[in-house]
Amino acid sequence: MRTKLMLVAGFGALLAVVPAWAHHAFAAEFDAQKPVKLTGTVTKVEWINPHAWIHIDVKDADGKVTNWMIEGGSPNTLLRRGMTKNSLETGTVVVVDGYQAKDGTSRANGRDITFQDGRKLFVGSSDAASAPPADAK
Amino acid sequence: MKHRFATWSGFATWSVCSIAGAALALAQTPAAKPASAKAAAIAKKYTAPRTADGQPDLQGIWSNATITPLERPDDLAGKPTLTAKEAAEYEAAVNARENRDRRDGGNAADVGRAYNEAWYDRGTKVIETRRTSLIIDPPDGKIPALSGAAKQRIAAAADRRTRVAEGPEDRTLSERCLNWATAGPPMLPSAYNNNYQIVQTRDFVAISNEQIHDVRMIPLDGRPHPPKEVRQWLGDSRGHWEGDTLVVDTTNFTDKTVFRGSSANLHLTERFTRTAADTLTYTFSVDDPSSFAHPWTAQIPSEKIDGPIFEYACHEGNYGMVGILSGARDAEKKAGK
Repeated sequence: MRTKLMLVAGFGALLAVVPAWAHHAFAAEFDAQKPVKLTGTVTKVEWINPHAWIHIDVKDADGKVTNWMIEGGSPNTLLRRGMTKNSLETGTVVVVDGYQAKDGTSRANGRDITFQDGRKLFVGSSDAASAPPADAK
Repeated sequence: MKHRFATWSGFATWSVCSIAGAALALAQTPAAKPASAKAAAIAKKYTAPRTADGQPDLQGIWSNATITPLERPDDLAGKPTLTAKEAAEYEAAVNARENRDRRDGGNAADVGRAYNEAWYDRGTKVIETRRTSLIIDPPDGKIPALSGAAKQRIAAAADRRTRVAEGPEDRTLSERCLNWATAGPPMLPSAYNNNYQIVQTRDFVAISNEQIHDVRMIPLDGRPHPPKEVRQWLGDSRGHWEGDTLVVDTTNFTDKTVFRGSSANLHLTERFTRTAADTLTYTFSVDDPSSFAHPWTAQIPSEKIDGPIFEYACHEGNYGMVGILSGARDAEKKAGK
């Protein structure tokens, strides 16, 4: 038991040092002081590298619509899991829990993207049951 | 707690190569013990099929994803290998800690975790030998002592990631879509797209990295390296066969890429051996006296995957660079600059 705790602690210490960024320092682009929660409909999906971007129309309380772009990861991993940009159809309603761009524009990093019922939009294969319908082709 | 692991459902389980892998490690370290003769005999049990040109066939798409770290964690000093039980516990701990679905740690940590776990594919397992570091030499599994110049190079790279950017040249090579650090050479696991494809002809071996889609062309005809004045982003590679192992010698690096503190004088030696049908054992040795007190070597078994490799046209959608620079200008405006 003691060995197990030591192991976990040791690796934990190491992992604290390993940088979490994959492509770039997200903190340089997005503002931790500006969390956003947006509900919108998908208008366009840019299924590209280095990051996929999902465009959504968000309607505010006054009915004004603003188009936001939401950053995801590299689409290659999702492609391998059978998801494509067609897996996310135009008009789908999504909820984005993220952080707004530092320059205040309508851009956010898509920390969590879910359907309205809370199911995750993009999932690993262990959660295949809640994945959106994959493009059959 | 349900762990969400990156998928390996399409991948075969690791083929039984732990003995061969360990044998290879023993056979190739300068401090090889007397057991190496026996280990080499075990390693020879698998013979790679041949290409039409009669070369060992290393072709295919290989993934080097693993959670085994390059260097041995301090808490495991003196413990070169985990038991099967310890490895399982380590994997569970690492997968839980690395899970990007975590919402603990406050907003700043959240921003860094960027997007959820579904996008990541960093591997969920340690290497099959359960060695606690990818480094096999020196035996302590640590990068040797760094020179002052090497430390400065590392500090400059860290500074680049945090300072306010005046322009794109202030940002990292990966943010500029010029070069991906873990694609190297040498090649190391990364957050995702840990895939590379090897194609062989009679005269060349080509290695294509998924991220960020560079191809290294390695001539096998024994031609010399270019003059030292010629410097290339990926260095200049030359290959030859030693038995069933492809040995690749790379020099002529620029000073723009820094591998753990390395300089333009980096001399890299890579060895590729197919140690099982589904396993390509990749070993690299770093020789750079201006950076490291002595040479060091790491080994990563890579697993054959079905592929395909997808295109990674990095700059096609590089909105990130625009966002970073725009954010920097906005911060200056707010600070009244």
